[in-house]
Amino acid sequence: MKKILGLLSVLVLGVVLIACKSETGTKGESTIKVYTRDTTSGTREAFFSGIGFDAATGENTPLVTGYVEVDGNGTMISSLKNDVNGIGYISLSGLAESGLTGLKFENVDPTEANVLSGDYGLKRPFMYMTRETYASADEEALMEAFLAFLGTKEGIAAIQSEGGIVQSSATDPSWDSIKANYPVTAKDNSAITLKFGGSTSVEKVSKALTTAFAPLAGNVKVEHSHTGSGDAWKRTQGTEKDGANAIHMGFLSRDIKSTETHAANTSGRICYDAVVVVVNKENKLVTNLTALQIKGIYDGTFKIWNDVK
Amino acid sequence: MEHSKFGTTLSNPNKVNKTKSRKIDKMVRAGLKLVTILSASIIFFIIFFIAQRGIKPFIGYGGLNVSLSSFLTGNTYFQLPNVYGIGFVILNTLIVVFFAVLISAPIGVLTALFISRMMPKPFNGVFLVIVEMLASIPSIIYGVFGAGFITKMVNGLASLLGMQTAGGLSGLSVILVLAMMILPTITLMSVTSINAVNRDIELGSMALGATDTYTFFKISLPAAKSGIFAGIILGVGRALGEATAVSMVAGNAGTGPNINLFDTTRTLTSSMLLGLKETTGLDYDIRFSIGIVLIMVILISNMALNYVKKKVGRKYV
Amino acid sequence: MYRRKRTSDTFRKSATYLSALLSSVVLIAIIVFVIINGSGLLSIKLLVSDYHPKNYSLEDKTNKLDRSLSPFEKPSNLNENEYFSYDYGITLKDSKDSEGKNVVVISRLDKRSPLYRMDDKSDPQNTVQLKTGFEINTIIFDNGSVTSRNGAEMMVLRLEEANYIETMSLSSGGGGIRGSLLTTFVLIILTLAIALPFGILTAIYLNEIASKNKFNDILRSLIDMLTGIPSIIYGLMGAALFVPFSMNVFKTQGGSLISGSLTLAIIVLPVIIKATEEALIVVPRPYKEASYALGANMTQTTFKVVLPNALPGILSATLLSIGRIIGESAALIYAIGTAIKDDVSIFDKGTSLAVHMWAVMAGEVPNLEMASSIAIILLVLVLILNISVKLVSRKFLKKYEGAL
Repeated sequence: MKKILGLLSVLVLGVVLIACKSETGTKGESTIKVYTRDTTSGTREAFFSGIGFDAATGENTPLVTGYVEVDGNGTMISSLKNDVNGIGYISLSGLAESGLTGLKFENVDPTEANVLSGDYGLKRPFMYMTRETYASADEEALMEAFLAFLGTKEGIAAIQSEGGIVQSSATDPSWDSIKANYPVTAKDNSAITLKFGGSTSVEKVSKALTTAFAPLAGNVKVEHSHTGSGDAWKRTQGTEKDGANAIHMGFLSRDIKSTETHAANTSGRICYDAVVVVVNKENKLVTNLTALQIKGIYDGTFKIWNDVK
Repeated sequence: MEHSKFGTTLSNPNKVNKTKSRKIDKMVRAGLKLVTILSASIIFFIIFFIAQRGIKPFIGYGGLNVSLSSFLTGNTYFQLPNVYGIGFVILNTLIVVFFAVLISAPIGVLTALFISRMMPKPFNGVFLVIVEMLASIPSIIYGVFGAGFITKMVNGLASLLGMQTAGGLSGLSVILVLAMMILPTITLMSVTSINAVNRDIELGSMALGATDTYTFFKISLPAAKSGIFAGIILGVGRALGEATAVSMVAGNAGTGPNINLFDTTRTLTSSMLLGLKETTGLDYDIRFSIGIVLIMVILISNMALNYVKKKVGRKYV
Repeated sequence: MYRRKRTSDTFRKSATYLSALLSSVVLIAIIVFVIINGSGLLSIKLLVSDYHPKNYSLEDKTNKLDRSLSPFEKPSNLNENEYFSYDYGITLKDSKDSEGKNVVVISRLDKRSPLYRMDDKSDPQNTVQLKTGFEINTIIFDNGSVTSRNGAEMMVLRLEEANYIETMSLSSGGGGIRGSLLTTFVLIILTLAIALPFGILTAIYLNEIASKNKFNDILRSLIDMLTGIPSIIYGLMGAALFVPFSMNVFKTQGGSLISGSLTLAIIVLPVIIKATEEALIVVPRPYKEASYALGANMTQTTFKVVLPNALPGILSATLLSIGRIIGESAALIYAIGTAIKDDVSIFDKGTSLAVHMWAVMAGEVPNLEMASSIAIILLVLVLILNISVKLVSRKFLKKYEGAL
């Protein structure tokens, strides 16, 4: 009996040690594990068009076998945090707190300054799309007020607080100076719920905007359900605009497609953002990748880390 | 039907009361029968409504219909715009369940033997309580444990062996989580069966000179065979249908079949839960089709295993 | 021969001991894992606060910095990531919220600070008292703005530079599970209200009234088949039948607690039927015969004599169902959805505790700590239910020991 207990405790210790084994970093001979977003993602579209791999924007077939598909910005971050051999792409706004290493693209650092100056190549706009018709006049008025809020000091500060890249200047109006034009915001709107959705990359910016807007608009209730840029048009003016998934405003992390026909004055740009290629922090083998290298990684030409070092 | 023939003679000879009482009985009886028929027809409702939604991808989408044959045999889960294939998913499901049962059946049976025959009376209650607690832990907790601990363990094991994993999300993690979940099921059923084994055969064997361990293994276990097997069948059913915990450790493999247990995988249930965003459209309806396939797989495996159980038969009364 | 048998015996014995130990190790590992990760967040505050934070937009109406009280005295025990503003007597620090996002939090606030109480822009009559733990999102000054992204140090620097504050946007609270606790409770009540009558009446019919014919055998096997169905299939049916039902009859927008309860009711129905049947079987025949002998009809006998005596069994059926309900996740993900709510209404979506765990794990950033905290609560509930079931069945058996 004692012998068995001894054996067992050694086994358990071994198991525990294995679980707590610290990662020793990426090895050059390891296979590159490719992570991508799903096909409704605007980030995916911006990424693949940006590196010249248009065939992969809507299809997974051109990708190397063994790719891992994740359905959100946050999932991409948490997956890469667990995989030292992984490579993926996220929105620049999430880079700082992701705990991942952002790679240079064509030798340009992924910073907000480089995006604004145009040097960083993987730039893309954050767009919004609203509905054509609303269930009530109050809802329509509130959405109008929200759109105006986007250009105020408070709105711009909210966008910047989550890494949205937008020019701010001293001449931006404050909310107080324009709120008289939107009397609906002076009422108590806690019975109304405004629903937001669309891109997961824009989720943080949109949440910051509604967080700042709600107290200024009569404590209107807000709900966020972000499922991908593809749903922004679908749920405001497309096939699901009147169903259970209907939303008031959808966000996109790419330009609006020509197939997404919408009414005039129902769309616009909130800010700019960029796509950053990221690897695990322990990966010391790469700091910069060119578009050709990235495409080669994703279509299988370069299989191990030594190929792109 | 319980009704004493003496009842009515002692009751109020007033005829009106007698018929009223009988009438009430009749109505109540009819009402209860109706309720029971309703309860029994639930299974038809389930099949009907899931089938109604699940058949739609194959016939209701006009030009975008999914092809049934490529659905059942395909090796890529999704290709634009309407190609779905779950052939590899079915294979993956069978593989992980097979290995899960391979691990947990011996451990479960031996634990049951330990509880019912090897541990003395006051202490075996402790182990029984442990197993019962394991049986009642909700699957989401197994999922969290799997995502937080088992995946790390598998990741570590993989790097020890020089292999790579996607952060531990792998077929092996699924197998381990499933094994943990069906272990209590198999154990509890086996405990009942081993307890029911006739003490006389065991005493007889020991009287002939066999050690107690030999008796338990060569006499008691085979005698409890059918009950143990029934427990295993129950375990297989549970493993095939487990959705939450599996989705949290499986990864989301797009193509397959995934034989390498350190690679991400995709099972029927994980396909139904992962990536659930919309409530309309082809992507949603196809999950109902996968549900139909799951029901079929469970039914077929149940029938197959029950057939094997019958064949193996009862040697000892 | 004896030696060989002895080695194979020891091998078998050790294999058996190992297996039994493995089950215990697994249980202990799960409990330890959940406790280690979850006890940090577990608190009364978690149980009673809302999940969604409360947002404020505040201003200082006087718009002038009252410099009579400044400079405030710097606290002596500042930590590394805390920064102090002499002008405002407020200490800010960098921290992470429950989703892992970088936030700037008020860690200390002097009562005499001009920021202690500010005017609420959403309600001109109202003032809001700032407390430690509030997160500052953005501050708009007369000469620019600063956001949480710039960090606590920068925020304090700008506070010192500016002349006055135009708007301050803050958030407080959040990450609580009150909504999900209430939702779980409502689901339990609603589900039992639907399933108990159906289940008990069915069990009564099958046990007391049904004659031994083929039809009733078929009924019984159809009900038995329900036990083998995995819960996600029930979820699919809930989404296919009960959600449209709830949308059409109760005018809900998509899933609701009603569609969820209907789905759960079907899941627990076989449990209730089986346990009630077992309770009814144990009621001694002499009870029933005595009742008939006294002239009662079948209805009176069943409902006034047999059923009350089966009550302990029905009670354990109820407890088992409650256990099943709080543990159910896959079915509710389909039958209701995963939107976490703070206000609970049966016509609206909501998450039970288990679905809340799924939502925080499957969301953008998996929050293992919060999921583990909820797991602790679930395990405690399951433990209490298990013990209750045991006590009830023990009392039940004692009652009929003599009469059987």
